[in-house]
Amino acid sequence: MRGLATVARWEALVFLAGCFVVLAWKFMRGRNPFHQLLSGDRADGTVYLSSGRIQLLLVTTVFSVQYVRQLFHATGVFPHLWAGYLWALAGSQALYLLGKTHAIIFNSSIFHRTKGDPERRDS
Amino acid sequence: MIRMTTGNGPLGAFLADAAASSTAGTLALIAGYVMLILVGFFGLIILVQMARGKIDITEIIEELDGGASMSRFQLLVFTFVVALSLVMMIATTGRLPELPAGLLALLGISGSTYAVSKGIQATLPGGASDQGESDASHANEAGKKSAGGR
Repeated sequence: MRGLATVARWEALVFLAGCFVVLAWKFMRGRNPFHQLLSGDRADGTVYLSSGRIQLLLVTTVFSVQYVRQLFHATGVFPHLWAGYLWALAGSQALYLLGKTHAIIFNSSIFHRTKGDPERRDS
Repeated sequence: MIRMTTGNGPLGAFLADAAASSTAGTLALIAGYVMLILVGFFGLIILVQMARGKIDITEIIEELDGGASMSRFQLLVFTFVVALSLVMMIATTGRLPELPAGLLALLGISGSTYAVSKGIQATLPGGASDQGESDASHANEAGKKSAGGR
């Protein structure tokens, strides 16, 4: 049964790697999928460079790289996720949501306040 | 790192397994390999269809207006990270591991952010939109037009 398990492991790894390669290939060949990734929307339809998205992207990247790095050094157990990392991630998400809420409801970003649309919806 | 029994390849592994098994064991082994081939075939079909564009993944992190969604992108990254870790753990230990609470919390935080993000959009005139963050502005414009018409 050892051979069966070996083939199954390789099959799973090849499928996962295949998904990653196809996704990366599609992203490179098509139009830029990251277009406006860092742009937030206001209620009036205008966009702005969102600092909330920038910090979320940084935290996500650092977190993922750190976890995968730990994963390759792990021996049979999942890498330990330090509670501080999770709190940092949760805080980052909260900042992002706060900025998004502010931009959509109050029609301006938190960090680049602009004159609001007079017809905006006050809630 | 992953420990593998290498050197013989899949056919060699099968023959070695078959030689070491009883009749019932050989039958179970053959059934196992048939299942593996079937699952591998399905996986291959999915990959080929994705590559050929029949399964369209080009807009997997995009909204309808063409802008990328940060929440979707993060969920995609975390899904790959968790899937990779799960495969590596299964490959290392040879059994289905119990997911640690921290990993579930990670996916929970990411998923709930996406959900809350949708909830924020639902506060706009025009109601809840299932079309993504960038549709918030369109929903608002539609709401203004609707209000003006009354």
